Amino acid sequence: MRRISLVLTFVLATIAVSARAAKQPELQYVSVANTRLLSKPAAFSSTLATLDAGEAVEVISQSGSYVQVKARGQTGWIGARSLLTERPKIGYSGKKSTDASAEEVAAATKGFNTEVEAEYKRNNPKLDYEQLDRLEARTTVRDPGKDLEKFRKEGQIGEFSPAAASSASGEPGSGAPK
Amino acid sequence: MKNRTRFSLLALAAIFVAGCAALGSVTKKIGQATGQSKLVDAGESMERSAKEFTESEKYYVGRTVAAQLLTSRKPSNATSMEAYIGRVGQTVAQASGKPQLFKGWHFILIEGEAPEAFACPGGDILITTALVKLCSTEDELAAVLAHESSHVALDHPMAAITASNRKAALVGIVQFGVSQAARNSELSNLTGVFDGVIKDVGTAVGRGYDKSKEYEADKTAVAILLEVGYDPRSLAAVLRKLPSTGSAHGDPKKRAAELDSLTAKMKGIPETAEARTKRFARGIGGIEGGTEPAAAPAKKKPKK
Repeated sequence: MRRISLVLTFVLATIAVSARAAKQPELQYVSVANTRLLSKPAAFSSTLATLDAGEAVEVISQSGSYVQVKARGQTGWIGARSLLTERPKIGYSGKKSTDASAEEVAAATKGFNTEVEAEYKRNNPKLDYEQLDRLEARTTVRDPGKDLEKFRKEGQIGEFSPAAASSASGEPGSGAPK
Repeated sequence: MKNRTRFSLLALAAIFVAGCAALGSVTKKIGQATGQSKLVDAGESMERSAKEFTESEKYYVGRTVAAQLLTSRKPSNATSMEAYIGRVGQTVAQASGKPQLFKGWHFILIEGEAPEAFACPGGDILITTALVKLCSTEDELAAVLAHESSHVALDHPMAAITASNRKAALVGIVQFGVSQAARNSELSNLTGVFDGVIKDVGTAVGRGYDKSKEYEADKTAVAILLEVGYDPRSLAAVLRKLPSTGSAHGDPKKRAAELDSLTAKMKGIPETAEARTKRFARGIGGIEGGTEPAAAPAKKKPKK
């Protein structure tokens, strides 16, 4: 009797555990710092939250190239190409999403990083990384949100086009999440 | 008694399985908390074995590829034109599915008689003045930049890494930094692997991709243009002006025809707005008028 109850307990526990595993939400991970949680599956929809690299999000559904996720207690959208299906490696964890700490993340990540670049540069003195630094600096858009909105407005692009007001429904990828 | 032993064993086994799964991250956390690099390394190597390249690694690969391309090419001095091109590029990149990158997107204008563009992993995109000159509207410029951004967002440059180099890179990463003593030789090993990766990626970025990847980038670009609100037909329009670069990359005219059949089925296609056409003329004004500032003989020699 005792044996039966023990076996039964174990079987039930196993079933309970696997049932829980089956119901467990699918997790994906933010691939890069400053990833915006969007209010709609559309590039220029409003930002609900700014997520950190490696942050886990719960997958709800998919719409085109966007994935609907739950993150930080909110439901929003992220481009599928900005999500990883596997938890990323160590350097990602717990780092803040500022530019300065991006460097720290790279340093903590023992892969191709500034250290490897410095070594490679030593072996290839013809490569002008300083020039590239300058080029990258001058082609960085500081405040893309505001700057680009002004740019789209001026160019009557998308939501700012004369046609958008009359036929907003025909625009793909911008349908409100249901 | 026997039963109890059996049960205990089962319980132990269950705990062991659960424990193993958690061990990697726990070890890592302890390591981080205590600052003991050995623990960090142990935790890391357990987790690293199955991983792909990170966005930051792609950036460092791309930077070196860009630096190599720039040894035989000159950045343009037309910085205001570059700023305009950059805004168009940043706008389409927002809809690439990878709006954020490790260090953001960079659209760098370079001098060149041939209409060329180079999409480096991590988001450094080089585009020649000749390719910009080939465009007659902002929508066409957006189409070119959407195509290049698509290569980056779809990881086409990184896909060029041979299986052996990929394996070496990822295994190298796992082993790297096991102890301080081994660090120097590990760094030199890893830099050697990096060199192999740079050769693979550099070749792909320089030569272009196979037909299927070009088609994939074309279709993704059309989706981007449509989402942003540029005329998606403008990509086919630019492709028709491009010289063929060999059938390996797909004949531009055939690619254009493919896109025609795609866009023909679309409804409510955005039209090119006049405001944009005027802005485009201003934005790249120098080129159109033949007084492109960068075309003048450069006084400053680029730093070597």
